[in-house]
Amino acid sequence: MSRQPALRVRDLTVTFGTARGPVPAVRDISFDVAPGEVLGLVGESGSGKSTIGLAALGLHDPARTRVEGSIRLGGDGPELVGAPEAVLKRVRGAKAAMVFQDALDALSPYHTIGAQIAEAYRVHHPQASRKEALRRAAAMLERVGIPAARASDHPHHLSGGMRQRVVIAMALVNDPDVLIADEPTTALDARVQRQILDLIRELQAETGTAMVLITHDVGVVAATCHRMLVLRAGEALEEGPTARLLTSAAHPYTRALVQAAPTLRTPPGSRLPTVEDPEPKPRAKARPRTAPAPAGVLAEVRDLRVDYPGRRRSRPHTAVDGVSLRVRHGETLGLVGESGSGKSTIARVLAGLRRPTGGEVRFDGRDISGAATNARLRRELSRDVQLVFQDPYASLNPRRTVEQIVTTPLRVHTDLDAARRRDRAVELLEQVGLSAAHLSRHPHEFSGGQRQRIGIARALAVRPRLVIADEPVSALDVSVQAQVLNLLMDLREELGLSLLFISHDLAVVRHFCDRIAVLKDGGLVETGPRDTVFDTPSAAYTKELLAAVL
Amino acid sequence: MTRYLLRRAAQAVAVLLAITALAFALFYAAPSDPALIACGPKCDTAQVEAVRASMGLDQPLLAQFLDYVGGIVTGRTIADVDGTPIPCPAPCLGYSYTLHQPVLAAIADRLPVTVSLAAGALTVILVLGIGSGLAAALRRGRATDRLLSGFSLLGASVQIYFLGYVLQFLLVYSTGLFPLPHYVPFAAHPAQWALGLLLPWLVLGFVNAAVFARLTRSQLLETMHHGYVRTARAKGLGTLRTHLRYTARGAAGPLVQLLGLEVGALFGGAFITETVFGLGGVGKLAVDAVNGNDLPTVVGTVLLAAFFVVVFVAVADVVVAWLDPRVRLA
Repeated sequence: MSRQPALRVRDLTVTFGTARGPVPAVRDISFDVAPGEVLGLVGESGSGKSTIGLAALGLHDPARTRVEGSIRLGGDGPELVGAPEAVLKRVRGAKAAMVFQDALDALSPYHTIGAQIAEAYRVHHPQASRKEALRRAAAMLERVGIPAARASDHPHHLSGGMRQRVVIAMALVNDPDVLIADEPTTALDARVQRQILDLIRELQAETGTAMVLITHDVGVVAATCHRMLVLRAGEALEEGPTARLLTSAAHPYTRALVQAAPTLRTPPGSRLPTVEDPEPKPRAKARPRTAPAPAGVLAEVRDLRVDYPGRRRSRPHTAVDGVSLRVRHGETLGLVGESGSGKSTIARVLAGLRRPTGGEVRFDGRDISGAATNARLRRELSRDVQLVFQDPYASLNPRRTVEQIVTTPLRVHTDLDAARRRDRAVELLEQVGLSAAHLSRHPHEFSGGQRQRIGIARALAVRPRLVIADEPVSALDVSVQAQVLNLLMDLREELGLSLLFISHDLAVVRHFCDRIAVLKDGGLVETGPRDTVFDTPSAAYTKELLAAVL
Repeated sequence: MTRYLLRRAAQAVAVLLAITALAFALFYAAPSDPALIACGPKCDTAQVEAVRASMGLDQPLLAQFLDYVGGIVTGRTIADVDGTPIPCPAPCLGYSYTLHQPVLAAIADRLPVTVSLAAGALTVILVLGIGSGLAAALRRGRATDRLLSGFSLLGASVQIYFLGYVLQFLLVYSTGLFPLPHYVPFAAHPAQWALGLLLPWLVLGFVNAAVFARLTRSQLLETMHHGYVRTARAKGLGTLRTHLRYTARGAAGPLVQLLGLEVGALFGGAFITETVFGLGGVGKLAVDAVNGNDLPTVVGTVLLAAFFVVVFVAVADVVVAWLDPRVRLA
């Protein structure tokens, strides 16, 4: 922080006009970013972190948004708050550039990546010829690790990681003074996330660009940022060097945020701190270090193969090939893998929702491979196997009340009358930390974490023998994730549940599961007790995954 | 691309064949007797039978159908009522015994009227529909938006035969602001051509523009929320350039597809328009043919309308694929 700051934000307040009146999104935020410095803006959804990023480039719709305060680039740059479009146009992409979260959405599907980068150059270099701009784009692509020959590809031909590289190349093509990266790696697999963060850091150090990194992930901040600013509900809570905030934050919220996400060093099965309960009492009975004494096998797949039919004449796509797995009574099996590894397909087969192309599928010794095409068998299976889904917004019917949602499995599978079903629903809601008062409400009245609790209550309604949880916490904010994980751990103790737990997050799996199976491209890479897989992994791929954990 | 076009062409032929078969089944199996009508009221039974034989109507229905389809491909010779052979080169759509000319010739005589109507109406639809949709999207929620939405709703709910007669009464008969709708070939006098069709164009355009206005508005609003539009602005592109290069391109696909269907609909709806404005196009030909039991002409015009729909829908698909590289023509 030697000279003038590259970005200076003072008393920034952003208010959205909505049908129900003005809603403040950000209140009185002030910060500086020095040239060459990386500042992390950390917060959960609704904290206003992305709003600050958009305000810095004047990208809010002025008709719907009121921005007050001051944003300046450099010590003597023009005031950007309230600046006319002509001024903002010269700043955007030239002096301050932005990297967005979802590269597939952020890139135009209609233009080649080379043309899109070249356009970003030409907008600010009108004298440059088309050819010169394309040369510059090609050079930029090479710099982010993409062969220049791919400049004529469209975004949908590239992998997620490469698309994010393109977005970075586009942002850096004009050597901006300030780079704002809004969740640049959130949609990516861990290994790719690591590569992209390394690339961003490398380029940032090379160009001396000041960077604002917006993220919900404390791990990302720890790996990239010099300083961090913690936001909550639109207000700044705490600011300081990353190292200090990670170890000795002053504000309890910051501490909770830092500790809520399990890491590879968190004692497995321990109660996770949350914002409401920053220093939880340790669990009375800790989860044993290894799986409980070998009990009988509850569910298993043997030599499973699943093909998805290809389009028209193209060959079928094999999602899972030669996988053998078993879930024992009372144990939690964790399935880890990157996107496309076949995790969810295996879950669908075990739930009787997808017919396997080959191999055996057994539940409690019974062949259930035909459940997907046999309504009676599937119905019988769903009495014993229930699912908790990833997206708590999409997996609850918005037109039904909580009572209807939770009691539907009871109506299908038991002969309880309406009053008894209602009693059971109340019992379930209390088990998941909700109450009878919530029965008549609709899903939209609940937060994401509460919805996931409703989903869990629904899954537990018929006292299933196996619960399959497919990424049950990955759509949730970290502190909510901690709450839901705590809840699942409590319920598991209390009800002696057997679980198949699917996640891309190795730290979460390590925290929650007894045995681990690592999947890659539809094949089983490694399987074993939790501590064996994490402490002495045998497969190179597992080691690679572990190395990528932030 | 070539493979796609070939498959699309095969599909089109199959659709047209099915429609021909259906039209055949419907009209030729009907209880009325074309031979009787062709022969005239003064014919006796023997004469009618002779006419029937010369028209080929004594053949089994399937044979007649095959003759007909064969005629489209290779052409054939058709016997007139009195047995004189009439050459009918490919694509032969049969011979009208009412009009005493090949159906194709009858259609060709009147097609310019219908095509002129459709082309002009389409222009009005595009300008009015897309223009007002664009204006409404850019001024969403404001007075302009509400006014345009109301206007397009009015257009959608009013019928051509109502609006057409009202406007003709007001603008032609009462005030004389417009000439009575009439057709002058474009080649003969372009200005007269446009002037004579102006009123039908405006009426057709206004009535049909509503769907386009609504779709344009909703497509634009949806596309504006895409990340790539925001990216374009974050690069430093101006508002106009962003909308032209990115928003418009994203919104165009569904509009092109609707346009493909609309062309077909304009031909289908031509008979109402032509009746209302007293223009002698293919629509009027078709209506007269149905009323007069002129079966070859009925089937011919049905086939023509289907042909236009099939062709324009395929063209729309190709254009959409050209606009959006993610669409694979498969």
